[in-house]
Amino acid sequence: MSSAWNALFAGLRARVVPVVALAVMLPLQLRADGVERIPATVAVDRFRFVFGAYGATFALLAAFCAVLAWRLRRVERLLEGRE
Amino acid sequence: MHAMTGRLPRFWFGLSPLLLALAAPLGFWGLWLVGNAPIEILQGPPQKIFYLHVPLAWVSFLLFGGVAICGVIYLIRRREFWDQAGHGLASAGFVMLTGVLVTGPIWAKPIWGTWWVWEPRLTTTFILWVLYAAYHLLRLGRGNDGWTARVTAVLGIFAFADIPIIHLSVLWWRTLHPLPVVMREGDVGGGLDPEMRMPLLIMFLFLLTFGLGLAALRARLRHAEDRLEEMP
Repeated sequence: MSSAWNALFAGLRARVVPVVALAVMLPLQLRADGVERIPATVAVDRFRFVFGAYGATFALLAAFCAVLAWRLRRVERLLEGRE
Repeated sequence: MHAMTGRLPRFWFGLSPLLLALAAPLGFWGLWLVGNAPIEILQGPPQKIFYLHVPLAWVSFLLFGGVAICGVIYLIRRREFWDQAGHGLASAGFVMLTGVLVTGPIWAKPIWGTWWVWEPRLTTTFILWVLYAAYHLLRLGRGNDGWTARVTAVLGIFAFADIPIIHLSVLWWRTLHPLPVVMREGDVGGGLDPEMRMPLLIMFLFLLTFGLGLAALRARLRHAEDRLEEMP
């Protein structure tokens, strides 16, 4: 179990830099009317509801996943201790 | 308390890391496609919430369908595995449905001018959320004994009956919520631009994989908790 989880966490850590880069670059990539490229500051203002919805949902999913993983690790350690 | 030590199949232990690892690249791909999807002409940028809000609803309904199936099988066969699997699916579905109720108002504010309206689709969706909140409160309050397993199995089947009502509510009572765009009947709804299909499909696959990964993880945690509870 632990090796699979360790591999997953290591993989996620290795992706922190690309994720940050993507978060910075995404507003620059957003298209308006199919052709227009808009500056990041304008994009943040126009897309604030979009960022709010995606940010809140991803935070919710990540928090739930982290709590489950933490509780599972805790309970399995307790089980190993008793066995 | 009855015994809850039904052994999970061996593959279950690798299922959650596998599904969550599979979901990660799908999520990045989906976000990239959403960023590059065309901007809808009437709603503007807030329409991009569609690629999150709609798949979240679909995935939560599928997971709740799984809860109902697990409930039926549990009531017939009384094997703990089905109670644990149903519990996992219900937890993941509840989180996804909470996401629906978070993204919906954020989308509604710039388009409808209000965060929330007590119209049929929103109300029936909120009722589903309350039913599953009751499901989890019951488990939190009583633990996972045989009585709770039976009652939550029945509750899961009963709550599932709300899903067709949610789907049909926009056709039965026309108010603020738009008609179905993707899964439409006959000529209702406006249809979906072909360029918007791919981001929607990938976001759906991402959320489905992630939701199943969460369900597998929760079921495994539940199994471990049951084992711990039975130890002297």
